[in-house]
Amino acid sequence: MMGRRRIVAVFLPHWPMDRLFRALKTKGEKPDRRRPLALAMPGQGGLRITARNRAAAQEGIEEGQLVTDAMALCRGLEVRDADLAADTAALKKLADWCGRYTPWTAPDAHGAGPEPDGILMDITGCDHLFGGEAALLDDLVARLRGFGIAARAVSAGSPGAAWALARFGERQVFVLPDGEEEYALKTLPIRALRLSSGICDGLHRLGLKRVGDLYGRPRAPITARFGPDVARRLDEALGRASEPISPEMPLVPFRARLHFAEGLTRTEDIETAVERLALELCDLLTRDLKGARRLELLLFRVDGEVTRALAGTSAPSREAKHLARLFREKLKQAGDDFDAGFGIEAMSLAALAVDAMSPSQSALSGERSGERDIDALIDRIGNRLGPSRVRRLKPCASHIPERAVATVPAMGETPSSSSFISPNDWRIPELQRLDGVVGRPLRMLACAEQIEVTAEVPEGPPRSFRWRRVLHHVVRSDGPERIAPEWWQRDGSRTRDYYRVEDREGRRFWLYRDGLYQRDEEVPRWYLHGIFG
Amino acid sequence: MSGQSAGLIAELRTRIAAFEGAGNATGESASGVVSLGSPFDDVLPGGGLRRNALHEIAAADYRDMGAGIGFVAALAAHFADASSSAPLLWCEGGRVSLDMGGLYGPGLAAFGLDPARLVLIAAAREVELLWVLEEALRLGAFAAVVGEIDGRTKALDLVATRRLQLAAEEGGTPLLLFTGHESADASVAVTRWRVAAAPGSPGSRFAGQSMELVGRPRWNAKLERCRGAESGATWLVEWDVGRRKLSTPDRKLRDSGMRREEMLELAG
Repeated sequence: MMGRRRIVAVFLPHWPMDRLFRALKTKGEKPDRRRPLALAMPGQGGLRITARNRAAAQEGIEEGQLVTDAMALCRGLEVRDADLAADTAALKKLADWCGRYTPWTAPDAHGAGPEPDGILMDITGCDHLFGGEAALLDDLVARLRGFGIAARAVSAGSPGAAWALARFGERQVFVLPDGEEEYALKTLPIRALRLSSGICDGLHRLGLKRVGDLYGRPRAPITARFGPDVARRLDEALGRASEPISPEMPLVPFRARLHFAEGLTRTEDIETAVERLALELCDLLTRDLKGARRLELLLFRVDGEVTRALAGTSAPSREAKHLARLFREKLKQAGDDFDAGFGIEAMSLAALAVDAMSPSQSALSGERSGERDIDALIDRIGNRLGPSRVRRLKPCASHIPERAVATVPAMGETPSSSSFISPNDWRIPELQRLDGVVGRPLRMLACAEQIEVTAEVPEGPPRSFRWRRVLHHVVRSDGPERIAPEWWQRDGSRTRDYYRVEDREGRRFWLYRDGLYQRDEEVPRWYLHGIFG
Repeated sequence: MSGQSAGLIAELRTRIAAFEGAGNATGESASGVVSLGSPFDDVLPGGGLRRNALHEIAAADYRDMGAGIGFVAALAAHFADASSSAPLLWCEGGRVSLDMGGLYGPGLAAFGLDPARLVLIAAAREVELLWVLEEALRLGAFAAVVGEIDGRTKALDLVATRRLQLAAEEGGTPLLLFTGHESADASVAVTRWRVAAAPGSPGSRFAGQSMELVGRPRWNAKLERCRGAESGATWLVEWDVGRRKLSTPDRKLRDSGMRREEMLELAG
């Protein structure tokens, strides 16, 4: 059944102040709520109050007041700097925490001020898990109060209506049934339509003070005067026009969640829970013939923090054991850093990216099983060490030695996926096949190192060279193998003459002379590029 | 008398091998070893390198690191050839590749190792490296696992090597541990090799050229230690690119004119 969307708007009227008290508490300070406290930031004409606590409000301190006026009103007033960045960051985290109710949550950016002061949640199809919308809202507001955060929450069929009622409605917690938007918003002030203050002032001058004043009024004159915003916002609030919600968190179809009556603190319990989630997620994936490529595990802590862990797989997988194991490495690696706090009260495991995966792919059979085991190991190593640390070599179509091969992350890369040259074409010079000689070094320096060389004739092979302060006497040499720069790469590189040399002790190196004698103005230099086995 | 004692020794060897666990030191099953060909197989117990075991390779000197890596690649090629298409895991500890450069695909191909079959891992810390090696060995899906770690590393103690050996036995996968120019203080490695550079095979000389061409790679390899057999054998080994096999161009180096006396000194 695809019913209408249900949106919850959460309004945090005292967010900066609540946030500050929470931050102070975690630092171990014990702020006194009865002392008047205000936050201020530079505004027109000097520092202005942006937020104040209840004690300060009782003293007559108002938002927007100049700090100097406020100090005159109230002697004991403590004024602190407002920290908008910290407010926004903390709100983002709180929005993540709200993910325990629904996968789709985001800070609400439509607030009156420049910074978000609320959270929007899409709870379509989620409310039954919590005993209905009203129970969900009650639970949400009660939990936030437990964190010391004042909140109002309203659910409605459109973000606009929910937003308006959360801020200007009478009830702290309210469920607006579908179709009643018009009646519910009628008496709210024009500001409830999320219009700019300039437009609100203009409408006020025309005597249009309440949302209901706009109902049934011809739109053309208003649009001509104030632009299309007024009609659009009205339609959105009344649910007549659909409003695109911020794409910040796309809806993930593959998600499993678990709630616990009591917070989990032991790592073993958490691991077991991850396994249960993985089983559930794999059922969902199997149903749609999909395999997970990127996974996200969210751990919701009792105290309102969210721990997020990401893992990736190199090939689509829906093997619960394997997926759970990826996170076990993560949790183990986090070790002491991982802090369950007062316990984990909810968890969710989601497949953020999936690939098609046919049923046969998951069947363990013969030769494939070894490859799949290796893919699984690569995943685990990559998730513990970092994906960039697990690589495969990939041949490239270039005759420049350092460009002839690339190392690519092994995760998500199958050895056979190559552009237009076969993976077995490793460009081993013919020379090697002729004489059974090894034509290319086993190791190549990331950056060729300059060496001092003496040669009998300028164009000839080196007689001796000094590398890393050690003098090597060359007794055998092959070359030159001339490698010209790629003409389409205008990077100023010059023609190189490569020599394979062996010193008196039998150490073999790959050297080159950078540049040609007659042609280039600059004197050619010698470099050591590789080491033979 | 001598025949009797030889029989006794053989019997004792069998019994020691039984103590030592999975290893078939007397070579009752040929599948447990990979043949390196003559003359190495004559010395190695069971007629080859044990597959489910830890093999340590160290360079005789800092300047012999290239030779050491070459020898490791040669042994890895033997193991890779013995298993049809299983990939190879090569794990670096960071410092070696910084100092000696990264593995180069075409160069590996020249050693008969298909770069497409290679999984390269760069571990930032030794503990991680040991974890990777252990997990990879235990998986039993790789033709061979190669690890590069500084032999002086504290994390590479007796317990760590024992864990690696157990993991190798569990997965039936060989581990080639290249310890740079220092070997581990205490180790349960089944074989330990020390490798020094040696002049390559005599190359051909073009008329008018002052120098010979570079020939096939050769190294001095000493079997410093070998569980279940006499150790101390030293060979001049050559890598035969065409046949992808190690061979000895001369007789044992002991008998031939040695080119680097100091190698033996360094090797103790």
